Amino acid sequence: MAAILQLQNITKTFGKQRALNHVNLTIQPGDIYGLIGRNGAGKTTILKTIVQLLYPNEGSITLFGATSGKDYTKQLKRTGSVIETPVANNQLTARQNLTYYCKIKGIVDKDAIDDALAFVGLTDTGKKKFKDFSLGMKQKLGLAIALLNKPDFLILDEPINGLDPIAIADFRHLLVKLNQTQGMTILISSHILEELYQMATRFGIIDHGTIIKELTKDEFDAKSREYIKLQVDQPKLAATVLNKMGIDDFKVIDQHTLNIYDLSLDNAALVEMLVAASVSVTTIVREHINLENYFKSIVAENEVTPNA
Amino acid sequence: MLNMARADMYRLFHSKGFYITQILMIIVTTISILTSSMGIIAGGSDALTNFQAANQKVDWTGVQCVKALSSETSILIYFILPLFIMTIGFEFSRKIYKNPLSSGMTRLNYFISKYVIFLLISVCQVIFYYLFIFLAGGFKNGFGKITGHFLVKLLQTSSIQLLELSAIFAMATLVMYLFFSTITAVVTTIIFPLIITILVQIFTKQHWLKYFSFQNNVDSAYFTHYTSGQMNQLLLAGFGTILVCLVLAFLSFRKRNL
Repeated sequence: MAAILQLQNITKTFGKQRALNHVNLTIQPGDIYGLIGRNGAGKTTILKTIVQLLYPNEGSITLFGATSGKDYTKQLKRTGSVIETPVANNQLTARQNLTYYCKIKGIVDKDAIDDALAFVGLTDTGKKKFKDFSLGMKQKLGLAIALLNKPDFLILDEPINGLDPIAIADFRHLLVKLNQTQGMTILISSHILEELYQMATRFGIIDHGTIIKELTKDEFDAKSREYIKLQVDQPKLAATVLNKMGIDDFKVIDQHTLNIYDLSLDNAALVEMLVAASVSVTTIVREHINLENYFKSIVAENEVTPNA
Repeated sequence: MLNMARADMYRLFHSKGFYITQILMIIVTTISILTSSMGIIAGGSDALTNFQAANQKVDWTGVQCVKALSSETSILIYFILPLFIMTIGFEFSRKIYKNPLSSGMTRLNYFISKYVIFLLISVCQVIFYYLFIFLAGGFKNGFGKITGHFLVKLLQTSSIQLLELSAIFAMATLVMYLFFSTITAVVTTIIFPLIITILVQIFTKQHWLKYFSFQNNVDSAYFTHYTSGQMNQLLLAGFGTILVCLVLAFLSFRKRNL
């Protein structure tokens, strides 16, 4: 099946600052693609480049098979997006704002506004104007505007920033519902990783303007298996002890830490063997890699070997 | 473009600012008609002062009101300015442009749509201004005799005035697209015509300057007799300013990082 979106070697500079550095990214139909990165990593720049609010210095973007010019702009009509903070007309109500955007987009379906308001839960805002909306309401209206033309591809930039926990959960349910009931492909950037983990089917990790890792949720789940975290004063000696015990599924993480992935290990026996070998044990505990820890480790790895 | 026009008109008619602007314009022109007095926004020429003085000696019928108050039409700068802000200004100061531009509208289409809609609103405002003056004056002292000459003169006057007003707002448009700042655009709209008026009075031998004195040209359009050469220069200055400002505005907007 043809990809919805493909970024090839996208580079974007602002003066001397390189915001995106040869970014490659592919989004397949039906994906909920979570773009993960720190503030300033380049998430918004990627999204703005896709919707032509920014133009790349190098590289090409293919959207629904169109690569440039009028064809690309035409294909953007099949997308809906909320980039940075949601914007609308301050002096208009939710319904009036949707009417305004229906006119711009040439939408004549009389139910489109009611459907969009109902979908995001803004049917009861009455005469309240956009300028008086809470951030959560603004996010919802931004989503409603993006959904008016029933897009095939939805692009959301940090949509859950500033929302309370209930609003975050509501938002997550909305997006999953769109993906599952309408088959909508979604690209969402966020640094609230636990939330992203609950909805995304694929992840892309961006750091310093480069996608440093792409993986599916299944691939991540395989990596996030439980392990025993062992902290000792002499990791090399501890590794020798582990080998002697017939355990080779472990990894030396740093100067004091080893992660042991063989969970059949008897912790008491291991401690006994280590003490006998004059290795001082400070910590032995079962842990689980969540997306946040994984992200941190990948970014840290990239800082050590930035060109790897 | 038609979709954008429909949307912008919808937004305008749902904005308090629009109705406040129209009410203020009605109040100001009503006061002028009731007191049979005319104001000058910038320092006016002797011809303008003489024209206004002559008009104060006659009864203000509907027709006479139109003639007399054509000399303070530059007041429309202040009654078109809020509409400019509501149509184009807020798009940039509040970044509302992101929604249409990110969903498949080309920047050229957006730029042309916005300007054409604003131009249309300006035309409507000029028509509304004269229509209100004529009706208010007519109800006060009778409508007067509408001759063919008057209608031709009114059409010619309002066309020149629209051109000169458009030149002023083309500069505001350029500033808006360059700086994305409503305040800077507003200040330019108000200050630039005043500066030119002062320059015209200082550099009296620089005749070409008067063609760029758009505010004075608006106020003197009815009673000034232009030779064909002068008219050409007036049109050249007006259309030239509009063209240069719009082309520069679009060039700065075309590939800009938004």
